[in-house]
Amino acid sequence: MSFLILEKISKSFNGINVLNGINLEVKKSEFFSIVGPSGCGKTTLLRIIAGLEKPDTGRIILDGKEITYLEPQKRDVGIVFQNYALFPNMNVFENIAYGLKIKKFDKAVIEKKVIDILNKVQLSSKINSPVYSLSGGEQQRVSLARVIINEPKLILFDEPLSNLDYLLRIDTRAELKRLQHESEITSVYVTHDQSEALSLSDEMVVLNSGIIMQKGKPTEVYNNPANIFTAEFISHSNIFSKEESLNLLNLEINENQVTSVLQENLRFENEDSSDIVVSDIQFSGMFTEFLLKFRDKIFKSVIPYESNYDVKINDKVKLIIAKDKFKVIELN
Amino acid sequence: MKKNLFQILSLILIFYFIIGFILFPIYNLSLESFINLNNIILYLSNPNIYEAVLNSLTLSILSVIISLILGVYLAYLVHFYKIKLKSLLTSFLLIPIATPPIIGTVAFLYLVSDNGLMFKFFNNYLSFIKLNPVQGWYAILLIHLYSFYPFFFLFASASLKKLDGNITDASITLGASKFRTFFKIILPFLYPAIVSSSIIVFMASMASFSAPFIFADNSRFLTTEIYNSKINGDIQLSSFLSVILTVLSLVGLYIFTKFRNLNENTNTIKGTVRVLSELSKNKLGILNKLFLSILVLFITLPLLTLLYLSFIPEGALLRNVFNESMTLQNYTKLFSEEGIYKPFLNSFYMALITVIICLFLGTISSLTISGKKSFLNKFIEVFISLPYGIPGTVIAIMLILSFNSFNIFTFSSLIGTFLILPIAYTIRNVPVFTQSVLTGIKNFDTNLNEASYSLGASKIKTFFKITFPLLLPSIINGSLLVFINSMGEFVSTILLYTYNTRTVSIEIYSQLRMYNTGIGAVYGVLLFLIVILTVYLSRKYINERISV
Ligand SMILES: Nc1ncnc2c1ncn2[C@@H]1O[C@H](COP(=O)(O)OP(=O)(O)OP(=O)(O)O)[C@@H](O)[C@H]1O
Ligand SMILES: [Mg+2]
Repeated sequence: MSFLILEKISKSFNGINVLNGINLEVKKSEFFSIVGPSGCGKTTLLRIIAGLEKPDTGRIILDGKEITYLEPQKRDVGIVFQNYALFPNMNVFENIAYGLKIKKFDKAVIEKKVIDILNKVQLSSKINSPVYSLSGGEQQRVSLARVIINEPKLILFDEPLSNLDYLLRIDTRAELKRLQHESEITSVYVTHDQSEALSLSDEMVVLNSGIIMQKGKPTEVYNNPANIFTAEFISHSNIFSKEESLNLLNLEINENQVTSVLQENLRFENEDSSDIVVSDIQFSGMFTEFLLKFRDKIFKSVIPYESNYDVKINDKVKLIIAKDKFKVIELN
Repeated sequence: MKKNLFQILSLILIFYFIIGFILFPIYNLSLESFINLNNIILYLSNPNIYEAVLNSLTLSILSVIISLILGVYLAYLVHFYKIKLKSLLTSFLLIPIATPPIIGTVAFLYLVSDNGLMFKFFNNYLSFIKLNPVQGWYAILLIHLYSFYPFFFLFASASLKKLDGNITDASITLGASKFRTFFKIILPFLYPAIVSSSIIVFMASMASFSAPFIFADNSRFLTTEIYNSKINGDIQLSSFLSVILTVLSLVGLYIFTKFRNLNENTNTIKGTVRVLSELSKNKLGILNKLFLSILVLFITLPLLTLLYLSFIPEGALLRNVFNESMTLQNYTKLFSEEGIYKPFLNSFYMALITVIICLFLGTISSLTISGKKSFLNKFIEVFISLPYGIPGTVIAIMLILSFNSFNIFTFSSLIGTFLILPIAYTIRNVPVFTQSVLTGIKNFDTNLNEASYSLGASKIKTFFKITFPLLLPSIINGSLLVFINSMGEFVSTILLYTYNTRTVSIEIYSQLRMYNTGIGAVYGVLLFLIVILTVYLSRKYINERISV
């Protein structure tokens, strides 16, 4: 039995559909991600789950009870916001204790819980700091602590890491995963960063223009994109049309299909009679990215770094791809 | 840097104004109030004075509290709820700020006093409801609420626009009720706005004259006592009370400013802000709808009363007006009888002269102040703005003391002349104008000037091609503000006018004294229309400028 169920959730603003019949099921203690490009309706969906926005149609069921029209205060659903949304007039302690005070916990209990949680997020020394004196990463950890301390049924994360710089993002990502795992609180995590979704999630869905494009475990979604959007957005795959498949991959598919090949599976070797030209080579540390041009189309190949490639810009190459690396996608 | 001729001339003029019309009068007032120490001892044992002090302070504090509650609550409703015709409502809510105090006061008198239209209405049509006339303190507080809540509303609304919607949502999802969110999150966020508007309202209430003057019955207030003692010829007492009033206002200002500093940093937090979209706001409940309707009535009824009475022949309050038919006779009189249109012309000319002097003096002062940071410029800034903290009644007393005979600044006596009124208005309005231009200067990018220099334009050319056009909106805005303030000025006028120099506001008041309603109402309506039109035009003009 799923812990959180969304049934046919739709929402429009000013007559523009933002969400179109979203169906989702999240299991208890699961880390569930929703990934999609900017403006696809992720925040709106989270706000509907939290009760901050009412869906036009559909139902939400949490822990066996329908909560579609329940007030946000009574849902027991916490949100971690992209911009942290800490209370500026309160210090770290007061921010974190806010929810417990509302639930009328004992002063001593509150204090103990806050100290515990601050230890967990490694901010004990900042307990009395005003929140505006904290760095972005610290603020984000306070906002996480402020939610976790209430042990809600569900935590919603709205791109919580996107305001942090790269290294901090990677660190905080790991910490987030650890905290979620320890607390076992069911989490719905929204992001536009596919690598975040892939690395964090137990289950994920891909959202585009308010429609769910694909559901599954990260590896399934990555390896078996069900449509061009997922293939490009999640795995940055190369897409070959019917004609390209035939010419370049020697693969026969019908009009309603395309072939998708992961960048790391696209290999090539020099072949002077080929129509494919190496148009650029970008070295990025561990990997090297080759842009291969065929007529007007660019294909990408990513290869672990080796010191001496025998391929140079403007060389002609042919593709070599193992048969089991082709994924044929049905167009609809 | 060497100063050029223009700067030197500016400095001379500014100092002539500061010394002659601000410091010299303040000096005279201080001198006069302590001229006879025996009298001081007498004053100090006079319970009336203590009563006046206590009443003025109580009135001001109460005014701050009630305007705070109404203004902030309204700002909250307008910000967080879906309301039909919201922008219209907002303009409506700001009407009282543009209404000259004397007009508001008289309109309320016509409405809620024992002869007022409200009574007559209930007597005629709903006689089973027994109303009590609103008088004394209640009436004064009602008028203060009417005139002052817009400050809180304006300041709080502006702050709420900067409040991150995610913060209130965070509070709600953590389980807080709307009520708790309001008191724990929103109100603290509004703290700076509330303190700023409290300062304005406190000062304005301390200085308030019209409402206590007309409604106070037996209660004494500092402003009215200053007026009364002047009329009774005890100029030392009125000076002494003026000093007390000014000192109390400034002490109040000081205390409020301390409050402001208490809470400086809290609202500055990094990160983007989620602006509340109109669509995701809550629907207004029935009680709030009712509340807003009553409020709109509260704002419009006094003005409708004026409008209605302007079409009824004189003396309407003494009759049962509702059976009478409306006529235009009051309006035709206005255009045909010299005694009736002269006050209008007087007010207009005086306002015009005030605007011209302020335009000149205020522009050179603000350019000087915004120039280099030096002791001299700081001095000018402080002393130019000083009169803003001095009640109009006190300014009038200072002028009477200073310019009633030969003096080295104006040579001859000015008291009783036409000019003394624009001078009084100018002293009060130069700070208003200067502030408006200074804000304009702060908002524009000085890089533009530098860009223009580097493109080879001369300084003069830069001033007229770049600086001046950029400052024009704030100059115009300032001028209109000064014009509005001067057209309806009553507080210092009533101490300085003569029969020949009487203004609309004086005439409105004396009509009232004679139980005449018609012409008074016509004056009120016209003055109100002029003010609203001016505000409207300035907004329109400035909006157009900004959108270009
Ligand atoms: N309250 C609202 N009123 C009007 N339009 C809205 C509202 N909330 C969202 N929208 C619109 O709905 C669409 C989806 O917005 P949403 O914030 O859910 O996207 P998102 O996927 O979270 O994007 P991002 O990654 O940029 O945060 C956008 O086009 C947005 O403009
Ligand atoms: Mg979003």
